[in-house]
Amino acid sequence: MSDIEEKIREEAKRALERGAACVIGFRQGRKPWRVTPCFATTLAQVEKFVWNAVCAQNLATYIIAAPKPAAVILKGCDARALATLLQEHQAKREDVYVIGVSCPGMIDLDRLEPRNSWTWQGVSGLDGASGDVIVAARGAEHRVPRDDALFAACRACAHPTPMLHDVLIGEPFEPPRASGGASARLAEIEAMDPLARRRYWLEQFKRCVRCNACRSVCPLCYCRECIADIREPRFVSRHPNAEDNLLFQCARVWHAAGRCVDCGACERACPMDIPLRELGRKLDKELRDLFAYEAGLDAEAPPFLAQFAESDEEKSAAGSS
Amino acid sequence: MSRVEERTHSQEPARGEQAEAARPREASDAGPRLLAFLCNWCSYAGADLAGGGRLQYPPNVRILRVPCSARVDPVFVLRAFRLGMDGVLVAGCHPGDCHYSKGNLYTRRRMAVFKPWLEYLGIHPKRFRLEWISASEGQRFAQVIREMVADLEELKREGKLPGRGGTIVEALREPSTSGSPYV
Amino acid sequence: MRRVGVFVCWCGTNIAKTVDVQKVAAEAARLPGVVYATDYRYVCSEPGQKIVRDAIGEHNLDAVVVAACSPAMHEATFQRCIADAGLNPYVFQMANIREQCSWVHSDRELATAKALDQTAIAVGAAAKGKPLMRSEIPITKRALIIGGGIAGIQAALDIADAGYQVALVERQPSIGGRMAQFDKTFPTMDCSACILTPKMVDAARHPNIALHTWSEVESVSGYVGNFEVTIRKRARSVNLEKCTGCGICEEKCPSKVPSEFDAGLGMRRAVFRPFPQAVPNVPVIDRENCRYFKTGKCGICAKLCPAEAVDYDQGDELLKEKFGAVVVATGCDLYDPARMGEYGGGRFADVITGEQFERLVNVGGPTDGHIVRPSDHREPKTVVFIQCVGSRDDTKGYPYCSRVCCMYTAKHAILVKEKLPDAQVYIFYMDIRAAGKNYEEFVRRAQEELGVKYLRGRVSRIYPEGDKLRVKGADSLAGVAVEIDADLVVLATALRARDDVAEVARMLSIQTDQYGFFAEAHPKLRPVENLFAGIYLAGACQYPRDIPDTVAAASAAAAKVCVLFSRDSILSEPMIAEVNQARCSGCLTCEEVCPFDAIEATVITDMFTREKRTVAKVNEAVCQGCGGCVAACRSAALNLRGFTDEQVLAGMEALCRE
Repeated sequence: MSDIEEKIREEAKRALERGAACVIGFRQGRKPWRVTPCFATTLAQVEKFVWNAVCAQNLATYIIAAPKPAAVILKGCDARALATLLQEHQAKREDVYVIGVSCPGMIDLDRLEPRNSWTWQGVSGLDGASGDVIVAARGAEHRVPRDDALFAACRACAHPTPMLHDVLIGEPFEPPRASGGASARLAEIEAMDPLARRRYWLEQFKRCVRCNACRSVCPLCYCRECIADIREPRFVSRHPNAEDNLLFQCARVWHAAGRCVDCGACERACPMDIPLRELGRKLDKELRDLFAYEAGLDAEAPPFLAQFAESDEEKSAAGSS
Repeated sequence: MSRVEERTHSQEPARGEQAEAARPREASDAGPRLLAFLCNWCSYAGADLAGGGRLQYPPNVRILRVPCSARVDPVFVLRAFRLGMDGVLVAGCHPGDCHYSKGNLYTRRRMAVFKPWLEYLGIHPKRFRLEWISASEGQRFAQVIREMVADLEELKREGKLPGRGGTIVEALREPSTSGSPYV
Repeated sequence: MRRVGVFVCWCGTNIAKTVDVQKVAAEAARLPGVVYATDYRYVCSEPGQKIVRDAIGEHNLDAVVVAACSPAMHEATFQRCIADAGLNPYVFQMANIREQCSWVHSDRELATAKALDQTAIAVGAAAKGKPLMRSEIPITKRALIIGGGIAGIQAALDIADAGYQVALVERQPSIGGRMAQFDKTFPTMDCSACILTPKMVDAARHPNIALHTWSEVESVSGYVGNFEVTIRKRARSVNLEKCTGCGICEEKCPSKVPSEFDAGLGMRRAVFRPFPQAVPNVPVIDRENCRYFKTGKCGICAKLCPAEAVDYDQGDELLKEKFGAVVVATGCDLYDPARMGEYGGGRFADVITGEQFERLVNVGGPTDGHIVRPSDHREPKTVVFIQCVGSRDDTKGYPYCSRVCCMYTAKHAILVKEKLPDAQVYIFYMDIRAAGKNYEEFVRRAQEELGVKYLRGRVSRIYPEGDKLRVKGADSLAGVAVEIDADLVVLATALRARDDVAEVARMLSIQTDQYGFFAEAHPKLRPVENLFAGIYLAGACQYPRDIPDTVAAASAAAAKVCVLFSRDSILSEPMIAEVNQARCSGCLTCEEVCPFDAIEATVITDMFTREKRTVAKVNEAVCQGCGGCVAACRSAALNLRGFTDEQVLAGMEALCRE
């Protein structure tokens, strides 16, 4: 990890020297196990850049508003989000210098044993063979199986190496065998009967407080005025009841259809621990199964839903119930 | 069953009169409610043709005319279900015949992705249909309405239509059968 | 506060028999925004309309709803009615309580409830409606005609005669198109050149027609009344003004190339006119096959030209011009007989196409009009014609009928019989389509007077047998297999769309059907227009057809152009999309989706951040108002006037009232 950290700092310095208006990366947060995004404009600030197994936040979300030309540290999922932003003309490729980092997955601290954070000293590394996470805590090293340590989105990740990059740090990764977790949950929900499913979703979203953190962290939620906030016409009520919360989340996820890269930022940001990714995974699955399409892989392609093909006829929903 | 209703700008009271506080239509009224988005050039004309031929179909359907099926935003469909519609029909021209040349080809792809997802959200598949109905298919239009209403009535009899409302109170009242770890 | 008036129509008993219209009116009066509601027997009648107009004045209405028949019937009627009373016609909404209510339901209570709901929807939409203005689009009264065949020529002449300027662009060195290749034309057996060349000359000499041959339209942008077009006049290498048409250059040119005009049966030179009556009667140099351009040697034509008209240094010329209308008359191409391997087209010299036969029999053709076998130049004694080669064929060709083959095959058969009276002529056919004026009689003449033998059946194979071609087919009416040893076989190949139709369609933003033929706005009622306003179709580029139909279509297209040009400006479509630029994030998904390319990116200065940023912009002259962009926009930055999000949502919410 520290080797990558050094390389990141070097590349960031080079970017600044070459004229980047800022470099977006991570620095140490308020606690040893936390990091926070930072916008470096001086070499001194770049020195504070860190890279470790908790750099989960998607920095692509800052690209639109960042002063250009901007350099930014992006993982696999982040880079795919950038590809979508480029497809949608939210930035020019030449204005963004991508320092790509191959990512083995980010650790969900809530899932780690031992949980007592004041004894946790840091992640020592990753076992290349098994993918196990090696944690230093209570003065000793502990091995945590990968599936038990990483975020759900990371366990399901198929593109750990940023496809879009100007410079790549770290060896390109083979995506690990996707754990059963993500698709198993999807299958469970699909197996419910419709009314039970509806109750399930209402249960999940009755605890949504409409803080809009999910929107705020998502790199692709860049609308200047969200339809959930527009008063005239009123698409979605702001009142936080289960039905309207569900409508809001459905509108949000629908608007991400064919664009969401499943970086998991929304779920990480939710203060009420709602499994937000579950809504969108079904859409991703359909796009893969029906159209062999995955978002964020081609920065030049027009948006998926802004196109059609003759072959859509075979997958048409017309006439069926 | 009460429901918190949002007053929007469309609810200006009539001059000199206070509009009645909106009360939701009771579930026992007049059967399942079907909302149909019909494209002006094909399916709306097809529905008119059904009228010209005096073809009879159940009065459960309410019609919104749009210029093209491509005008129908899936968020409208979600909103319709939120407002308590039991069924939604989106009807357009047959692919290749769109008055605006390609509009329905976008509808086709959009709905191909939307419909299975809608089911995943808990809307029974028979509650949402996409149909291509041309201006000459009056019979077909009537048939589609009859089928959808019959399907909705069957769902209602089997208790598979959610009650009108779906407030937090209702969601809490019904026991969870999902086995969800979150309850 | 909206002041909506509601007028519920009895339509005699059509509505009132099933719907309690008085109740609907009474309930409608209590809908939010409604200040006046009434019912009347026939609202569309003169007294009915007067009630509407009077109510507008008396109650100061600013929006009107009529609950009656379908808007398809009377929306325009009532829009005019309220316009007469001083209201903008677009604050009108109609509730369909006849075709979609009283005529299709029988339960009075339920039908009345539905009628009230549909009225409430209309009231909701009316309350959210806004007056809409139509802007004036000025029209440049110049027409561009792409394609100089008979369709293009006819359209050009008609528009020019009406007094408007025309540019006729043809990619070949001469205008004339397919008709120039023909010998005689059915059913009158007029000489094609005799009826065509006067029109060609008229077109060239018409003061209102600018002729651009050996030219192509390179780009078209803009919209009705305002097309910006780039025309590439390719270098002829011959000075149009100086050339006298003497033909010495052609005679002496050493390079020989298969002639496209002769369908490969003859040769032409590198400096050439496609045919002697070419208009303009000035050759071009085909630089790809010219020795001077390829090797730097030769130059004979320049040396010998008495007018010193050859100019090797000539370059392409790009013209940028503005037009108000475009007529597409690009014609069609022919099915490649090699695709039907069992017939030997392209392999056996004596299996030729109808086009090639046309050149054989033409006195200006490669054999001076003698019908001879291409292989040995002997006169054939037995000629077999095969119809429907590539037409009406789901497997190797096109499912459609090419319309002209039955007639021209009969013509060819008649010509053979006239020139070679002793020849045996057979025609293998599936059906005979002779649906024009004097067409059936023409075919019958071939059969009855001239003894052409018609065999109803298909041909399975053709193969060489000695120096003849054995044709194996069937005579299904006699129920026997047939074998004919033919000297010459002529295949009536299908008419098909040109290879470059996709590019042309893209350039013009028009659509083609699945075969590549350009799509008309409506197959029955608007056959010469395209959905893209200002673009018209004439001739075979829209569907295979014969000369009379082509000329009719060309004149029809010209008439449409003249209608457009008869005014100085047209009014734009009012129910179109508009962009709320403050909300727009410039993702341009709408631009991708628009079927008419009516949306483009534009740069604005953001009112809050003062930065320059890209947003979408709708070209109001081109937008047709489908609303696809509105539904694709995630930010609700786009809205569709007349069918706004506010109106649709108000309509839905109206169903949750009471």
